[in-house]
Amino acid sequence: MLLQPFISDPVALEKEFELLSEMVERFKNYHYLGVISAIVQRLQDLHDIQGTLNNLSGKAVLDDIELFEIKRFGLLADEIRKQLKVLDYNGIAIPDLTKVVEILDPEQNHIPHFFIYDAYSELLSALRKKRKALKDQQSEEAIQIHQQCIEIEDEIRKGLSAKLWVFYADINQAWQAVAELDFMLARARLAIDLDLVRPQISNDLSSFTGLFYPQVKALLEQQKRRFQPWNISLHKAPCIITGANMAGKTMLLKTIALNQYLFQFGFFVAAASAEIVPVERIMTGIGDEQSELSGLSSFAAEMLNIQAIIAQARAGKKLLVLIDEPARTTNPHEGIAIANALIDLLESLQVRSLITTHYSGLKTNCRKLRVKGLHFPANSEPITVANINQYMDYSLVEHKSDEVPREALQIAQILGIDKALTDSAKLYADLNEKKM
Amino acid sequence: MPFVDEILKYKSVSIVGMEKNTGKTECLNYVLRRLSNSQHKLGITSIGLDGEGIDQVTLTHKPEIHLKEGDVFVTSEAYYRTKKLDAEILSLSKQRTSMGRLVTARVTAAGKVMIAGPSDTFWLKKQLESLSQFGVQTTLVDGALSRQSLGSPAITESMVLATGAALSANMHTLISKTAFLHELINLPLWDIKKSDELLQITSGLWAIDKQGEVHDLGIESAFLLEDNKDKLFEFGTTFYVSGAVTAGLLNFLRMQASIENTVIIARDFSRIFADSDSYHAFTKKGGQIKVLLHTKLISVCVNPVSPQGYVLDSKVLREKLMEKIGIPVYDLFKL
Repeated sequence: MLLQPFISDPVALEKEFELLSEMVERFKNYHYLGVISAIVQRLQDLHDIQGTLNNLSGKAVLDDIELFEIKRFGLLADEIRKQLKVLDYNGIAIPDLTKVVEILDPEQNHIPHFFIYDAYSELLSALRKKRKALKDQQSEEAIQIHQQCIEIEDEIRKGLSAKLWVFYADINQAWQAVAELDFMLARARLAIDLDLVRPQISNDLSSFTGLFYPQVKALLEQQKRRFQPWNISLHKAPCIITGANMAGKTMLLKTIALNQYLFQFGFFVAAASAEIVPVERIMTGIGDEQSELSGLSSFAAEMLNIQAIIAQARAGKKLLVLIDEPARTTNPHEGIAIANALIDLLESLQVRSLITTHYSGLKTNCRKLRVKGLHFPANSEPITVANINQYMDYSLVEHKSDEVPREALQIAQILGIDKALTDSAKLYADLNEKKM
Repeated sequence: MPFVDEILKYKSVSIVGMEKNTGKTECLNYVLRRLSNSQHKLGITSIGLDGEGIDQVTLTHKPEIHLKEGDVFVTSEAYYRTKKLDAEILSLSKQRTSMGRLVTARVTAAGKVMIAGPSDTFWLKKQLESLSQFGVQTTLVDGALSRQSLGSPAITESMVLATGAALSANMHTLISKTAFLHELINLPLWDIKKSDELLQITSGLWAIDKQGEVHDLGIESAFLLEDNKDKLFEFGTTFYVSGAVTAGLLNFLRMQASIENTVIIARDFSRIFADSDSYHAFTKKGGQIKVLLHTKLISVCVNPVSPQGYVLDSKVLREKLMEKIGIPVYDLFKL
């Protein structure tokens, strides 16, 4: 029906947030709870009348079912319009459809039933009475009268349709408005249920405090655990994220992607506070893009994806780029080189981007953040798979060195991986260390 | 007419033909005609479309029924547009059938219309409820008996069965087939408390243990039994079969050591596709079948004329069948 667009224009975004804010305020005021639930009820009663609207705009003659749909919609839309007044909400305007309903309700019953009423034509009414009075409904006379009735009814439908064509713009606008209202109510409900916050629009620095991923947060809370939110800001340049395995780097990228999307579709965001720069496109490289069907290896698919990002950046598009461990599926020697070159390029094109990596020795001056990672209290219980998350500090700190944390083996041990494997790996790691 | 009076005692009555041309539509029209001067508020709908092998392209096979002013009917958008009566539209469904949405309308001037209805049992149940909101006292449901149909006439409180020479031109066969269906319709109800839980289940074979706990046996259908014999008796010998109860299942269970204690629970009589021989061999060995939904058979209507032109002796047919099943049997063409 309606497709909410991806909004890049700061003015349009600000307007969305203002309207949503007003609705969220209504939700928080218990005086309005009754009318809100009444509106939701009415919205659930709506049918999809797009097909009928198309016929109306094409100036077609509508049949009884279509006329019924318009009458029913008109009555519902008018009820919703009145309820919006009670709600004192002016963000969405539903045109007055009283006149439309009047056309289809000649006996003024105000109920959503419809047929070609006797009130439309005295002649029709007289003929119908005459036919009913006849003993034999199959008689020549009865059939003739019936034919006459059908002709008159067709004329009435034509007349009613012509009257309704005039109101097409109003009916269509009401139709769009109730859809918008439905979406607005859903966003307000979501904002309250998930504890989302109104984002501020920024034109330089995107900055989040208390950033979280609603689904994972809810999951943890179910298990009586706490989601540790992040604080992070993004400049118009690349920023590298390093940290141990299981430190939530991929989760961070997904959370930023989710929140940027929420923001640009006019939703409140999952953070304690947020200032966000609108972009024209969000481009990600998260997860394996390998595809047996297109015959691409993981590496090839990733390179093509990166190429698409570069092309957009070169075309001057305002982007947010989120890449999880670039070039990790090839040999580390070339992998580091590729990652390094990619970061340099994104730096020179001034692309707002967040890139995670496990590679040490990236020669770049760009900003680096590190997830604090595992910390071991002096007299703690033994760390296991079950409790490892308690000892993981997910907060981000500025990181100056080009070395990355080395905790992979330690985590593998905690995960209970075969001792022969981890011990042997340790020997190899020490050997490599000496060579360097 | 005693059986029409009987119908008015129920909120819903399905009229079911055992075969095409057994006179189901005549039966429906007969009831409507008999009630044409009654003040009783009637509703009319049908169980889907797929049950009768209707040509959905030409839409021609479905006969029309005659409705009087004040009757409330449910049909598809497509059929509504071909109606030969005047009616006031009361509501339109959101859900769609293969022939579009369902229109509920009240007749304002008598005439004929083709009837279609909800395509599944749950929807039919809701539709019956909504008709009583429009003041309907008794709803007649044009029923179907078919493997393909998801809707079952067992959802209605009572039922009228139409049978006749179209099912078999051999009177003996006709009577024994009809009597067998009557036997299935009268299968006893199973413990009501658990039935709602079981009705939610739509696929597979389930076991109910001594404590009344329901267990998924992980067997998709009774057709896959042979490969899953080991799993079958893990939780005892009471089984809920959510789909078809086949001859294969009955024959298989009959040959097991625990046959005397075996109880099969089916959703309703229309889910039992086993032939009379397999069924009786199963019950003779001590096996039992029970159902979750039960409907009362009010009467049977016979049509002694087959489409090929065979005519059975109406009087003999009626008397023999009545003797066999013990409920009233009528020949509507003789009334």
